[in-house]
Amino acid sequence: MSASRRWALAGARVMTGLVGIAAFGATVAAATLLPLPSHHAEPVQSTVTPVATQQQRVCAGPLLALAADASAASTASSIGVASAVYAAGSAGALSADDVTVSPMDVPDNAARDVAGTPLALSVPAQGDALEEPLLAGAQSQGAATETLTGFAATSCAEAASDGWLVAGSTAIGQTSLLLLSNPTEVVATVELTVYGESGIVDAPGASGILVQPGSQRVVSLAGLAPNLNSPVIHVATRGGQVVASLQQSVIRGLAPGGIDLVGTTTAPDVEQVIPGFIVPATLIDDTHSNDSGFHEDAAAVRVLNLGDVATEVELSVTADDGGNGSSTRVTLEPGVASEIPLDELAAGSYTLRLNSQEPIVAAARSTEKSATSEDFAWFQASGPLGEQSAFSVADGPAPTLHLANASGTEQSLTLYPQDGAPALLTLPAGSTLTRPVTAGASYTLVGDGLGGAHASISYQGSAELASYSVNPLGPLAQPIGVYVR
Amino acid sequence: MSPRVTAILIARNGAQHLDRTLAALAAQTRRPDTVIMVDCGGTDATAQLLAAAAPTQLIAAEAELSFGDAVALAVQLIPEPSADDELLWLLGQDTAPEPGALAALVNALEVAPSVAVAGPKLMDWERADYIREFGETMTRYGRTVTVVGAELDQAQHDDLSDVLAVASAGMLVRHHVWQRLGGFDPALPVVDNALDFCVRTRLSGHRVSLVPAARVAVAGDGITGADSSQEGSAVRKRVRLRRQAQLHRRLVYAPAAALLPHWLSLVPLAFLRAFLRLMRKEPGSIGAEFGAAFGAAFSGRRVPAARRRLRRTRTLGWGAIASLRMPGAEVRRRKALLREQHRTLARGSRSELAFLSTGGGWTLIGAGVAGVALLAPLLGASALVGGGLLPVNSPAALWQNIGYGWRDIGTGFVGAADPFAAVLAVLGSLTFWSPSALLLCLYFAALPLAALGAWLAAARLSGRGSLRALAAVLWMLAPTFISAIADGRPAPMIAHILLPWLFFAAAAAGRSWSASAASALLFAAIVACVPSLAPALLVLWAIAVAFSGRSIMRFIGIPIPAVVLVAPLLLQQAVAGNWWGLLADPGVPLAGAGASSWQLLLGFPNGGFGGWGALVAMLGLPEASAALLAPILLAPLVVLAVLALFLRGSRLALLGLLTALLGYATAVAALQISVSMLGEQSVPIWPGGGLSLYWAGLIGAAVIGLNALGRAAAAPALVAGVALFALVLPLAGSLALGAAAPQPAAVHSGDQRILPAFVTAEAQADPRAGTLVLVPQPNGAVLAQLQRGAGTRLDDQSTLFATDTTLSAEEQDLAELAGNLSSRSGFDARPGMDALGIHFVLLEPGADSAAARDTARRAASSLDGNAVLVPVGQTDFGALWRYQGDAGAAADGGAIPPDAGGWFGQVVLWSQLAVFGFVLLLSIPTGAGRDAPRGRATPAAAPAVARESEQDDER
Repeated sequence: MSASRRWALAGARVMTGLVGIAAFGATVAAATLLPLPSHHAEPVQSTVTPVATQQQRVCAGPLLALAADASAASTASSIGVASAVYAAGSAGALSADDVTVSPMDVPDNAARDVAGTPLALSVPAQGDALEEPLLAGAQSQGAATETLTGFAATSCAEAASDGWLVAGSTAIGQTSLLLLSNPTEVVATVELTVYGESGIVDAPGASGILVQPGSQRVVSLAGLAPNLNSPVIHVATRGGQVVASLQQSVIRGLAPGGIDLVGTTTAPDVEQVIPGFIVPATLIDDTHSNDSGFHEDAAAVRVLNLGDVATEVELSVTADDGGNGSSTRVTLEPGVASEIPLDELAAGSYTLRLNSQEPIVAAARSTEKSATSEDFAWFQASGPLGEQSAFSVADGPAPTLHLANASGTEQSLTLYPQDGAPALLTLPAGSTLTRPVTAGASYTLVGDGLGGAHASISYQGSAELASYSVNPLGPLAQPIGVYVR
Repeated sequence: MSPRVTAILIARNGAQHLDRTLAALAAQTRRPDTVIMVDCGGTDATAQLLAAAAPTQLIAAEAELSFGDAVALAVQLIPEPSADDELLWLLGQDTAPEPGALAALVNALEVAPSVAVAGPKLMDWERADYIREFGETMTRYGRTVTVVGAELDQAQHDDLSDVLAVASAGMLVRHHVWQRLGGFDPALPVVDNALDFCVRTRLSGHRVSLVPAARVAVAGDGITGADSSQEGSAVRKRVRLRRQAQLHRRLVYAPAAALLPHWLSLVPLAFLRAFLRLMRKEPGSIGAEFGAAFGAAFSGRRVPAARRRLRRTRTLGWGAIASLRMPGAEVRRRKALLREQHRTLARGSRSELAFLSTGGGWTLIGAGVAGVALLAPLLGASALVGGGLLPVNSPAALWQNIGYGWRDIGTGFVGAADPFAAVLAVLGSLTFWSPSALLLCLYFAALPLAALGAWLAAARLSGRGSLRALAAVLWMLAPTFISAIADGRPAPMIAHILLPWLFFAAAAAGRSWSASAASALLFAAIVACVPSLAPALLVLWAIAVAFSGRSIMRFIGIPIPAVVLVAPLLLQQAVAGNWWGLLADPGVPLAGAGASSWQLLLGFPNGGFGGWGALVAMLGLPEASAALLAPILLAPLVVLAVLALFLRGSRLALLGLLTALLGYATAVAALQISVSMLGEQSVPIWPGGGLSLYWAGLIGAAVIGLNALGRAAAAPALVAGVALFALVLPLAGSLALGAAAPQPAAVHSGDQRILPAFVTAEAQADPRAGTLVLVPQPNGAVLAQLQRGAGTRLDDQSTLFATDTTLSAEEQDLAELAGNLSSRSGFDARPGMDALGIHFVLLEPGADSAAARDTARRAASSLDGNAVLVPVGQTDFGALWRYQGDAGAAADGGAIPPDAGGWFGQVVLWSQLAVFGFVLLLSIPTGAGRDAPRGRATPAAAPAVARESEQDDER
C-alpha cells in the first residue's frame, strides 16, 4: 500500500467517523430538544345515563328513648310522633299525592304501634324517561319529657351502601342510637367502623349487622364503643342499602340537655362545606365540660382525616351577614376524629369551609340555651347541588334556607315554592344567602351549571335548634362513563 | 466415389463466435462440398459475416427457427439423396471444428457403412484441452446423461466409439437416414434433439459412433444444445427445456399402455420435484418444473406425431439399445461423487464459526446460569402472571387463532389476527404438553437464547472468542431486555432474542438461499412481535438490497413472508383508515412509565434510569446521582462504538451506528404514538423494541472497534462489560429479589387462572360462558370487558380490537348494559345478559384513586341491589355476581358463528401456509444443491459442479 493511499484511507476513515458522530449528535439533539409531533388515539367513552327507576326516601321515624321502661333497659321506645312533610313530582310541580308511603317495621321499638314508625317514601319512574322524578321529605319532632327535651329535624334520605355519620358521643350523660333503615328488597349486611379521638375503635359487634328488608334496626353506639367524646361512624352495607341516622341526646345531671337526629354527611372529599351553621348567643358554661375538659356545649367542628398521612386542614369561617371571615389551620392525624373549637364566634349564621390535602369528613355542632332548657344541633356538610333538587321543610320554629356558593363563579338559581311565584336567586362567587321558608312546604331549586352551590335548612327557637342539609341525589343514578376496550 | 458432404450452419445473433467458426470451416483439410448457411434473424453483424463467407447457399430465415427446423429448411434445398454417402454436417454459429475434424468424421462413416451418425469430441471454446461433452446416453429411466462430462482431455476417452447418442453440434449424419427418420423432433427444439434422433437411428438398425479424432470447440450459445450461461434466467430456461424434453421423450418412448399413467403423473411429479428443488435451494427452478410439466402435458399433437414417426422407422426392439444406456451403478457412483464434493465445500464454509473452540459453549452455560439466577423467585412456578402475561390456549386453539376469522375478544368480531398470534402458535406447539409451559420456557430460555444469538451474530464480525462472549453478555443484559422480562412483555422479549439471529442469518443471505429464507422467517417473526420495528428493519433491508450486487435475488424477497403475514391486518386497518393501528404492540395493552428521549438514549425504555432512580432514593442519595451515574456506566460502550468509526472496518461500524440510530429513532417515535386503548388510557407503543435495535447497533459497532484494536481490546472490553453489568443491576435486582426489591418486577409466579375459580369451573361445562369484568377507571368511568370461558387469553388479544376507535352495535349494547349494571337503574338487564351470553359479573378493585373507589362502591351497591344477580362473594380477583339466565337464550348467547372467516379466511390461511411452507422448506439447510458450495468452488471445477447438479433425478 503506497503512502498516499494509506493517507487517503485514513482521511476517509476520519471523515466517516466525523460524519457518523455528527449524524448521531444531530439525531439525539433533535430527539431530545425538538418538540416532536405525536399521534394519540382518544379512548372511546360512552356515557351511559341509567334508566330512571323509582325514587325512595326513608324518614327515620319518631325519637326514641332508651330504658324508659326499667324492665327492658335494652329496648328503645318512641316518645311521640314525628311529623313528616314530603312531596314528589317535577320542578315547580311538587305534590304529596304522588308519594307512596309505607311504614317500616321496627322490631327494636317497643312502642311502635302507638307512635308510628319510620316511613319509606317512594315514587315510580315515569315510563322510560331518563329523568328521575324528584322526591323530597323531611321530618321534625320536639321532645319534652323528663329525660329528653329539645327539637330535632332531619331530611328523609336516600338509601346508600356507604355513609358517614359525624355526630354522637358515648361519654357519661350522652345517649347515641344508630338507626339503620333498609327500604330495599334485599337483606342488608351492615358493617360499622367507629373512629374516635384516639383512632379507630375495635368494636366486636360492629360487623355483620343484618337489617331485614323494609325494617329498621336500632343499635346503641355505647354498646359498640363506650366512652367516646367524638365518634365518627362509617356505615357500609353489602346486599341491600340502608339509610343511617344517629339520634343523640344529653342528660346533664338530672336535666336533659337537648336532642338531635342526624343524617349522614357528605362523602369523604378534600373540600367540605357546611352552610348555615348557627351559633346562638350563649356563654360557655364551664360546668358542662367533662373530665377531659371537653366542652360538650361549645360550638365546634368534628373532622376526621381519612387519608393515609397527616394533613393540614384549613378551616374558613364566613359570616352569612357579610361580616369578616376567619381562617384557622389544624394538622390532623389520619384516622383520628378531632374537634376544632369555634368558641370565639359571635352569634350568627356562618358558612364553614374545610380544605385539606387528604379526604376528610366533617360536621359542626352548636348549642342553643334558654333560661330553663337547652338544645343542640349537628350541621352536616352538604354536597354541591345538582341541576334540580327538591327539599321539604318540616314543621319547626323559623325554618330558614341557607345557600352558599363555594365555587369561583356566580351561580343563579330559581327557587320554586309549592305554591306561589318562583324566585330568582343570584349567588356571587364565594357568597352566601339566607331566606326564610315556609314550614310544611316543599320547594324545588333549579339552576344550570351548578356544582358550587350548597344548601341547608335550619330551625332556631327558644332552646330549639336543628338543621339538615339539602343533598344532591346519590351518585348511584348519575350518568357513568363506560369503556369497552 | 468420395462422399458428398453438405455442411449446414445455423446462426442467430452469433457475430461473437461466428468469425472463428467460419475461419475453422474454411480451414478444414476436407472441405465440405456444399455449405448452406441459415441466418435465423438477428440484430448484429451475423448476416454480413455469413454473406462474406460466401456459402453455396445463404438462407435468411427471419423466424426464430429452432435448430432442427432450420436444418430441415436447409435440407429441403439439396436434392434427394441418391446414395448412402451423401452426408449432412450440422454446425452452429459457435461450433469451431479443428482442421481435421470433418476428415475424421467422414472417414468414420466411410469405413463403417452401419454407422449412420458420427459425433465429434466437443471441446471448451476457451480451453482447447478441456472436454465439454463426449457422447450422450440415457439412464434406465430415460434421463439424459453425458457419457463424458467436463474433464481435462488426456486422451483417456479416445477408445470410446459406440454410444447411444451424440450431441447435435458437429454431428455428421447420412442424408438418407436423416430423410427417412424425418430429422429432429420439432417438439425438442433445443435440448435432446440429437439424443432423440440418435435413439431413433439406433432403433432403425443403424449405429451411432464417436470420433475422438474429430474435435470441435463449442461455446454454448444456445443454438446447438442449451445455452450454457450461468445467468439466472438462462439456468431456469435450461432446467425447463431439459425437463420438458425428458417428459416429452418419456411420453414418446413409453408403450401405449403406460401412456396414461405417465401423463397423469406429470403434475404430481412436478409438485414432488418442486419440493426437492426447494430442499436443494433452487427456488428459481420451481417455475421451470411446472412449466415443463404443463408444457409436456399439453403439447397438442406433438406426442402422437413423434410416436408415429418412431413407430414408422423402428425396426429393432428397445432391448437392442439397453446395453448402451448408462448402468445404474455408474449413475449412483456419479451421484455419490457429487454429494461428496458438496459436503467438502459445505464443511469448509461452516468451520469459520468454531463454536466450541472459541468458548461458545461456555458462554451459553454462563448465560443459562445467569438466567436461572435472575429468575430465582420464579423457580418452581407453575405459571407466570403479571404485566402483559396471560395464559395461552392449547395448541389446537392457538392455530385457530391465526389468519383471519373470529376474534374472541370483547363481544367478538370477524377480523384479521395479529401476526403475533402466529408466533404464539408456533411457540405454543413447541410446548404442546401444557399451555402455561410456553411462558415458563420462554422466560428461562430467554437469556441463553439471546446470548447464543448475539454470540453467533458477533462471530460474523470477529473471530475472537472473547469479543463474541462480550457481545453475548452485553446483549443478554440489555436494559430493554431485562425491562421486558420484568414487565412481562413476551413480544418484545421474543423480538430481542430473534434480532441477533436475524443479523446472523442475513449476513450469510448473500451466498445461501437457506440463510436468505431463514432471514425472511426471522424478519417476519420480529415484525410480528414488534410491528414498530418494521420501518427501521425495512430501511436496513433496502440498504442490504442496494449493496447486494449479484445476490440481489436472495435479499429482495426477505420481507415477503412478513408482508404475507401482515397483509390481512394491513388490509383491514387500511379499510378502517387506521394506519397508525398497524404499529400497535400486540398482546395486552400495557402502558409503560413513559421515558424521556434522554432516558431512551441510555437504553431504558421505562424511565426511572432503569431502577437507579428507586435505588438512589432508597439509599437516600440525591436524586441527581441517578441521572449522573447511568450515563457514566453506559459511556464505555458508546465510546467504543464511536471509536470503531475511526478504525479498520469503519464502513461496517457506520452501518452499526446507523442501525443504532434507526433503533433510537424508532424508540423515540414509538413514545409519540399511542394507538391501543385500555379503559381511559391510550397506551403508547413500548419503545423497548426500538431500543433492542439501538442496542444491537451499538454492540455491533463496539465489537468491530474492539476487533480492530487487536491486543489492546482486552481492557476496554472488560470495562465496558463490567460497567454494563453495574448499569443493569437495579433492573436485574427487581427480578432476582422479587418482592424484596426497591421496585419489584411485575412478573411473579401464580396459577393459570385469570378469573375466579367459580367462573373457571363453570367454563369447563360451558366454554362460552361470558363474564362481564368491570374495572373502575381512575377518572371514575368503568371499563367493561366481556370475557369468555376461563378468560381472554394472550392469543385472543387483537390490536384490531385495541385500536378500534368506533363502537359496534354489540359494544354499544355492552356499554349500556355495563353502565346500567353499575348504577341504580330501572334497566332490565336480562335480555342484554342473555344476548351476550353473560353468566357472571366480576367487579375488579380497579385503580387506586378516589374516583375509582367511588365507582367501585357505586357499582358494588348497584350490583348488590340488582334482583337478577346473585352475589357469589369476594374472590381473589374482585367481587363476583352470578346471573341465572333464561336457559334457552343463554345457550345461544356468545356462541361463535360457524365459518366466521368465510372464504376470505380460507384464502388467507392457505396463502399464508403456502408461503411459509415454501420459505420454511427453503430455509432448512440441507447442504444440497448449488447453495453454499458454489461460491467457493475453484474456477476450473465450477462448470462441472454447476452442470452436474442441474442433472435431474430419476423421476
